[in-house]
Amino acid sequence: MANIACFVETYNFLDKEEAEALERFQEAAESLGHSFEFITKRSLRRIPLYDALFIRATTDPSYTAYIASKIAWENGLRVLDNPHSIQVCGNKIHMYKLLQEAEVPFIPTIYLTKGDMHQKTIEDVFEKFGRPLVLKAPYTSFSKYVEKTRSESGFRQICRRFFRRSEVIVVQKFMPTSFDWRVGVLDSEVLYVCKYKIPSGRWKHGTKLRGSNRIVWGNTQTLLREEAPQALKERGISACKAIGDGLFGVDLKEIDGEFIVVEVNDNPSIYAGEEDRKNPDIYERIIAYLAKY
Amino acid sequence: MCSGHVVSWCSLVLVVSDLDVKNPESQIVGSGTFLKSRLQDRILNIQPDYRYMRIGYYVSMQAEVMGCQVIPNCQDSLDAYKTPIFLLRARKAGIAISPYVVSDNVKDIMFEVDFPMIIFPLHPTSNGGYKVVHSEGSLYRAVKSLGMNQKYPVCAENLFGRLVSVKSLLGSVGDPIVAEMAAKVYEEFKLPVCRLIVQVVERKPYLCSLASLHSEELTPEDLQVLSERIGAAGKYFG
Repeated sequence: MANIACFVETYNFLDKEEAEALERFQEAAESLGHSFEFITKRSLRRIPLYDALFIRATTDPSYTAYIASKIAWENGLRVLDNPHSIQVCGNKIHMYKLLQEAEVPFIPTIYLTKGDMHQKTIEDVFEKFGRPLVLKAPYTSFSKYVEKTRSESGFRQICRRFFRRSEVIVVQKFMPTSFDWRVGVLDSEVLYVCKYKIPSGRWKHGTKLRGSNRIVWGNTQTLLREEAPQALKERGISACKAIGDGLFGVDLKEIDGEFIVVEVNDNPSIYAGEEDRKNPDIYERIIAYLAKY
Repeated sequence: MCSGHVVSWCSLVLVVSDLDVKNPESQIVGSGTFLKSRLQDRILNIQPDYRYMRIGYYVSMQAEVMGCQVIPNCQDSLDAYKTPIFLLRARKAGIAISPYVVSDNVKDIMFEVDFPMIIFPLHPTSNGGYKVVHSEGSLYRAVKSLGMNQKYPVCAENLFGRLVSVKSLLGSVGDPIVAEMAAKVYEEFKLPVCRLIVQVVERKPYLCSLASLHSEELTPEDLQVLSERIGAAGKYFG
């Protein structure tokens, strides 16, 4: 029997599908004979008392979740997401560079530093990728800090904002599709496969409404693992292998029958009735992984 | 020309730095050049700031991705600026540290640590800033402000000595009381340039935290120390 801690923040319980998924994790753990307790930033010092740590709060090397992960790792706990996954997936530049070294196809990408902000460089970038193109801050998550622009002035303005937190940023070719594939992978095995639909008239799965801070999300269509294209699953697994071990959600675009990686995310969203719709065993499989110590 | 035992590694270390460091036996390239290159070597990355998403961090990241040995590596850079992780690893490495607790709750902190306390923030842009508090009221205000309205926890340490802040340059510091500790911290984290925050009681240092420096804080003498120690830094490559 394993004592599993689940690191959460209060926002993890705001969305009822996410709260229900957390409940399902707890039920799965208890049905397998393990204990499962939620802990918060107030209880970091108790982490060494557990056998495993499962992080559901948003991960980023700058956030408390990284501290929780690292405390668990240094104390020999089994941990999802481990510090290395957070370090790599939390920074898209690191992630893309590893994909490049492993020769995993991903969206055409270049990196810019503040020193590159000359008119000639900007013109060259538009020449290379066409208009519009996409600018991405390395710390993007949940479709935030990913913007597209057609103009040099828009380009400069977005760069200025993104450079406030990071001294290198990402520029990508704009490749619109009606949905992105999401392949959930645990320990190099496919957990679930979904289509994250792009809301009508938009270009990202999660899009801010004009004049509001509210984000609208496209629908999620889930497939049986067995029914998903084999080439898609293989590409998802090879992308994860380039990053490390653990639980990942790989976003891919299907273009002319080819699957190209958009991003590899650690700490992938798991919402009741969405990612688990066709594959209800994902809770048991994640718990079994955590309890394998 | 290299000579003596220096030969064994001097030609293998590439120094990446935007500081005015010089070493006749090492090639020195700027960060911008390195980030656009595919130079493969043993990399000594000498920058005033290795915090996450700063140029110093990206240089180490680029070197790691290309499979190079690099000082410092990204994991060590991330850990060093997160005070509780820094202290956890330092303690495991046998370095004396100050007693600490991580929480966003005033009562929990007071239960674990006595006044006066030093409060270190753990929010994403923190960098070695801290507050010293002597009462529950000032602790409450520090937790609220440094924790950004309790969005992030803080690291509270018991203050029982004299606070000292020293520049560590490839493990070398000016203060002899802190010298041995600084060398151990360098061995564990290998951050070539940083500031150590330490408290000293009866000539014994206790580690509190680590921060980055601004280039302007590095004097010509500091750059001279760095330049002279570049060769010796090669021994830290595996």
